[in-house]
Amino acid sequence: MSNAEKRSDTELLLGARTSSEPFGVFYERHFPSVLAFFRRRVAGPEEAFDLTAETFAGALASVSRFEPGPEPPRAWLFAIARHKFSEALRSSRIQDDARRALAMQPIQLDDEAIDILETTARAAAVELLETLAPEQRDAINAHHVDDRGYAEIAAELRCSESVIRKRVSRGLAALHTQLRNEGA
Amino acid sequence: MSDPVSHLKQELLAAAERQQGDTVLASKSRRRWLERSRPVSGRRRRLVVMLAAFALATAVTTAGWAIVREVVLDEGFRSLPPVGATPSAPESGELVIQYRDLDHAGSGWGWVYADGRLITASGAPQAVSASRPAGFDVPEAANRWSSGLLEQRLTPEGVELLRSEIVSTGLFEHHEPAGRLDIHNVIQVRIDDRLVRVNANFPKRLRERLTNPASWLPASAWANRRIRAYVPSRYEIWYRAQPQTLERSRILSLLPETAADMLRAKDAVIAHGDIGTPGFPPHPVTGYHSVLTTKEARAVTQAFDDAGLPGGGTGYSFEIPGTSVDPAPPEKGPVRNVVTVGFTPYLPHGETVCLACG
Repeated sequence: MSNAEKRSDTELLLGARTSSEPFGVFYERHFPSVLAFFRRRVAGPEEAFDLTAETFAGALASVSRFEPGPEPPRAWLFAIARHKFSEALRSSRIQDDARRALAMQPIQLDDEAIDILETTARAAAVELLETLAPEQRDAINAHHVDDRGYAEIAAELRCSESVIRKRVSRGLAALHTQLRNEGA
Repeated sequence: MSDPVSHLKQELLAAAERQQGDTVLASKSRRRWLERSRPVSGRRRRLVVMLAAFALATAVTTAGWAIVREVVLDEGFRSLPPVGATPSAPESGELVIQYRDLDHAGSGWGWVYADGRLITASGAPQAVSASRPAGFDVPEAANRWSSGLLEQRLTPEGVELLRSEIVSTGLFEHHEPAGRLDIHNVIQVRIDDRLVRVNANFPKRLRERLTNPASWLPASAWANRRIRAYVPSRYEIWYRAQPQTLERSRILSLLPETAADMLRAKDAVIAHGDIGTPGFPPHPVTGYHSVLTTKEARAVTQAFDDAGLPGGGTGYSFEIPGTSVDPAPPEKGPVRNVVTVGFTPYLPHGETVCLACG
């Protein structure tokens, strides 16, 4: 792990004022969750990628004005993401102002690239699931991912159906809170 | 490249390096302005002006464009042309070809006129960085990041050869009406007396030929192949106040008197826009645009410099004393309202070009 990778988000953003490397680390750290944020909201991976690219370009353009505050830098990044998303909804198109202002090239997405994006976005969602208590995660996986009924899961785990329902319900509530915190 | 995550990272890192390079260049330019703005005695000022005029006169008579470029480079290529630099003639021209390209080799713009003028500009390749300065190999470049606007002269045969080369790519089988080059990878060409455009990735051969026409156009295609700086006859001046927008008369009242008088006498076009911080409601901002001759633009910048306004070259920005506005985000607290003034060169067909905009 490089020195930059050990640094906090705040240190990275402050370091990005004078060097490009910290912003690269910040990007790698948050790309999956920003992509997943957009992927949950738009129809295709191409649109999610464009919005993600525009978000990071906007963040880079604003990095000189970033000031550490009580909110974590991740909240700052997701505020930009939310802004880009509402801009896209308002104008019915994904803006590219930030990328153009930075003279960034358009990136063509082939099938392989789209697969990578979809895997990355899914991985971010799975990562989010991993943050739940094991019994809640297993219950959500069994019911929502494997599409199994409450009764069947309850029988396997030798507990009542209402317990499984509660685990799923509490797990979803916890996920909802996390998503809201990241700007959902 | 099929890994878009890495590709985007490379783009961002290159942009970050360019951004930091611009900051360095801006600080250098500002330092120059500060050095220039130190109080000097009348006698010393006269001496400096006399020496500058002498140097320029010598340059124009002995080495022509090369020294003019050096003078411009010294001031930063976004500056106004030096006193004595002859504007490109004629002042207006009929556009035959216009393109804006952007790829891994950098960005490129080109304008070809019926009178034979070939005006080009190129920007640093994406891979160029402070640690890899050799990537931008344009001997006439203003600096490592931009060539600035350069001019050569084609014969009518040269104009037609270039036009035919573009049309023969087949790109124009499906075209649309011409417009401003507000997006990348656009090419416009005159076909049957009508300017039409396509938005497409340039074929490799075309890109190579547009980047270096001297490598394939015959000698008979050139009226003057030597590259010199394009010197505009006119500039657009734009000014606005932000984050709190102000009426034109109020902004003008804040400018040095001679500059304000000159701008009051000009028609102004009003442009409405938004500024703001991502995640917060945008502030509406009204800007004002007027057309100035290069001489008038120089007089305005001279008035700004004499008054000690921060900035220089083609951009000035100063805080309005005693103001306090609260832009988002709220935790940043109140700031002073700021007036920004900029100058953008006109091309012969009557459009302005912002090379810094990519």
